Amino acid sequence: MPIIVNLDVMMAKRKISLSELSEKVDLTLANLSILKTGKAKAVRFSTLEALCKALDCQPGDLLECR
Amino acid sequence: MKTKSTLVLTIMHVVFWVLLIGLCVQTGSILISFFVSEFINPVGAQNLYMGLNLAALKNYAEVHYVGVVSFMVYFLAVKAYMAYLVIQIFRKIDFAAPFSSEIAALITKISHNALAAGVVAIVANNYTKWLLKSVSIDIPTWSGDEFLFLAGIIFIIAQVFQKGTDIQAENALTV
Repeated sequence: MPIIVNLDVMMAKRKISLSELSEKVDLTLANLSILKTGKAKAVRFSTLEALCKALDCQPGDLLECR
Repeated sequence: MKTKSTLVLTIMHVVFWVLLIGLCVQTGSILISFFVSEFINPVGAQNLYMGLNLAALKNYAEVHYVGVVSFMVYFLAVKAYMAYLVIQIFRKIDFAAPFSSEIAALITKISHNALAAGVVAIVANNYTKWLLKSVSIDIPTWSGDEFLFLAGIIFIIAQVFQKGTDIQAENALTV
């Protein structure tokens, strides 16, 4: 898929673990894992917003088109 | 509403089991009677199953007797197989997430079987019509149109189900 999810990069930059992020954005670890590993087929705007707020970043920091 | 549909589905599950057993018994009975009439006692052709008398056809031509019995066995076996597939659907379906590729494959298989049965029924009907020109006997007829109609409807349902499976998979991977 040409859309790359850079969640792991942002998590490393913010030094936040998957379980911490899971608590902050109110998503299950399984769903976050799907997103992190690039298996997700779609991302809800609400999820994106929660991730941006939790990681203090922009959607463009999380998603990349190659 | 949920209770009502659950009850209806349970009844249908039981009905399909009864159908499957009935069709298997019918197929087995005809097959056994046929083998008896062929290899043990030719009089068996007078009462193949529930009064079905094909003795005149057997006397007229053995080949046609075998042909007609083969068609009868085929249609009963196909119906039994379709009932079996429906039971498999009942066994495997999970109403919390009903769309699975396994169920879609089973529905598609039913439609393919119905299509094959429809085509064979048309051939069998023309064959019996041709036979009736030469010999005056009571031969059962099969409705190919109904099988084809059924095949068409089930095929559309299978396609919709397949689409549902894709959407469900996509939905499961939407975060």
